[in-house]
Amino acid sequence: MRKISTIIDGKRVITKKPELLAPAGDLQKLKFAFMYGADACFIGGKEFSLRARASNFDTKDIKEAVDFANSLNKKVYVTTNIICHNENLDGLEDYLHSLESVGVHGIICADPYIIETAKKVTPNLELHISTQQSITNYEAVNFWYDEGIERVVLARELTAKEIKTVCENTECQIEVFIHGGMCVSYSGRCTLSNNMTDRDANRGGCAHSCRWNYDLYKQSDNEVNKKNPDEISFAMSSKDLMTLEYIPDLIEYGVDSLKIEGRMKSLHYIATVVSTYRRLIDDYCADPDHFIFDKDYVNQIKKAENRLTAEGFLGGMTTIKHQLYNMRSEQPTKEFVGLVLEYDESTEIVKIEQRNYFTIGDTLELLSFNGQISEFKIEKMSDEDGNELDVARHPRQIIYFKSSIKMEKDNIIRKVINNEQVAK
Amino acid sequence: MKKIELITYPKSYEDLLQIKDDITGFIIGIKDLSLRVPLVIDPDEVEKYITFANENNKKIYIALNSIIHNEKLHLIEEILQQDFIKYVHGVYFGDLSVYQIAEKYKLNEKLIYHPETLVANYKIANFWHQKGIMRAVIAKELPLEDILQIGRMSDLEIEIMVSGYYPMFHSRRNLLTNFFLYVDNKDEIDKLGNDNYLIKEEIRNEFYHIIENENGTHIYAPNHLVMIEYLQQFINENISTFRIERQFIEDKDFYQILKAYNKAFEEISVRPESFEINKEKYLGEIQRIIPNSNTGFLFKKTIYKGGK
Repeated sequence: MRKISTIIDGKRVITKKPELLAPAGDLQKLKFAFMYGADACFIGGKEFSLRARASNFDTKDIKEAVDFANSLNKKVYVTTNIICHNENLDGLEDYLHSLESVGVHGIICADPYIIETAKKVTPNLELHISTQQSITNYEAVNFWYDEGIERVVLARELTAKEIKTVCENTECQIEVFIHGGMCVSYSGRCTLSNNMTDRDANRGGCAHSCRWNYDLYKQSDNEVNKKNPDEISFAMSSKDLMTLEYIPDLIEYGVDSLKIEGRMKSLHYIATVVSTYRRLIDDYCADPDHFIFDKDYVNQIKKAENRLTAEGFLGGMTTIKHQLYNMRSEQPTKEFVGLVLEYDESTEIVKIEQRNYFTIGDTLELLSFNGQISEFKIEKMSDEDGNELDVARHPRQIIYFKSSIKMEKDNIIRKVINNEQVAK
Repeated sequence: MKKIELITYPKSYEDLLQIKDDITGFIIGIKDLSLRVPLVIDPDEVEKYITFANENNKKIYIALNSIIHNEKLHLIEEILQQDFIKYVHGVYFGDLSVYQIAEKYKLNEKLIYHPETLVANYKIANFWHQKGIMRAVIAKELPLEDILQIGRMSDLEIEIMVSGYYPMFHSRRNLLTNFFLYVDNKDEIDKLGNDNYLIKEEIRNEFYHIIENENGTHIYAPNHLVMIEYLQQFINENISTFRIERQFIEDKDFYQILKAYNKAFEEISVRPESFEINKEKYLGEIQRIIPNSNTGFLFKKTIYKGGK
């Protein structure tokens, strides 16, 4: 059994807090993810990584990421999760050495060749089995554990009950996806993209063919008849994963790492999603027996979430409520309007970089690193030359205003989205 | 030259009698544990097929190739402890739990790794050789030069699918049922389980078979794979086990395809030089039976790292 709690002064507290693992598409996102509460980040290097377009880290960047993480006592994992073809085999040892030499904590991999090579040449790199291996049961987890693997990322097809059973039957670290996009197929077993676009899904080229629109036909005798109404395409696409309400269960099962997906996502999204899960995990662990799930966690996520969400398989077999049929997307309720660059406590002057349109009179809110929200009204602002402004309309424009709310460098400022304004 | 194996799936015992002269071995499925296998039986029926295999000098394989969730692990354990396991030639698996349990019973040598997509280079094959298994089935998304190199460089016996419609997608979700519920066409849900649904992407003029069953939803490639022209090259590079799929193919067509392959292998073993001359005729025969046949990824290189 995984021991996750202890009694202190008659009160149960969680002592085995799971790691909160966040995606980072570039260095800035990585820093934001850490500052907003992630315990670890996963990034893509230039080689051997899926999600090629989100793999922006060269060795120098990886070193900077690791140094930053170390300064906060946090971790960086690098995805090396392709399934190689023969032509991709060369250069692996050098690449792994370079990751180890800059202090990367672990790699996330699926190809036994990469796993075996890393075991041999870079023993200091922790090895995590990627969800591309579609591990769905504890015996398969134990296969990798017996191979000397530290952690297995479970398939996204597992129910909460199945995750619990896995945790009860292995000593291997278990990582579970808690938020973000979902494959419709078992991951790693899908070649729609290969067949339809010549882009190799297991080598970073997935074209997301499972999210496209199709017509459905039925063949009977020699006739082929369309079975979907003209106005409704056949679609397989899944709503994104959001598991806020399951986090207490996952903590109680002793899951070791909770993973947010989305290396392509924006700064605003990363900061919002990470800080919300951070607050939820901390709230629960502090006093699990008196924890009450507050809908505010959901409302916070909605401020940046641009997709419809559901709990995936966690609640059991998926149904139509987990499918995405008419490609609707969710409108985030808040817009990222400014990034704090400096705050002078003595003068209460804040310097920000503009990210989206806002005007005098708008009610804005500050998202602090601890997830706290503070609202304020913008009454007066000026540009770098001291000229007063009515509107902030130029991207990346430097703007000053006065605020009694204490701000920190890299805090996010946002406002309620005015849908009419967005439509323009 | 290693002895060539030509393997396929019977649909029934009677069907097995029909195809036995054209095959060296056959694969049967076990209830609740097999994926995409035409004949699925209860464990207590396996005996009959073992007897058949022995009497006809054929190899019998069982497919335990499902993606296994916890609640089925005990079934895998039960099957692998059955007496008949001693008498089957091999056990196909795609989920590592089967290896993990089989190893406990020292059955490694019976195992054939068949995860559809995950054996894509010779180092992976060699990893499985180290694990002591019998052979691995290589991914279908590989160009000819890769297949030949895997055959050449691998210490493990390699199996390749050479004919049929192959799967390219497997979801745990019931995608057809969900869709028919969404469009409020409940009548259609009762008819699921037939093999006759197809999907077509809006801008692509191709039809993909889609099936929903107790394992979820499966989608197949649009073209029928034919590799008959390249058999000699595979054999030259140490690949000696060949599998023919039959899903979506009418029995009479399937029997002809099987005969053509069997004949091709006979010719290769006795007069390889004449096979070289005749191989296009074999191809023509298959194309006459299934006009939309092609060579899959043999001459189609997939892009490594989209976006660049």
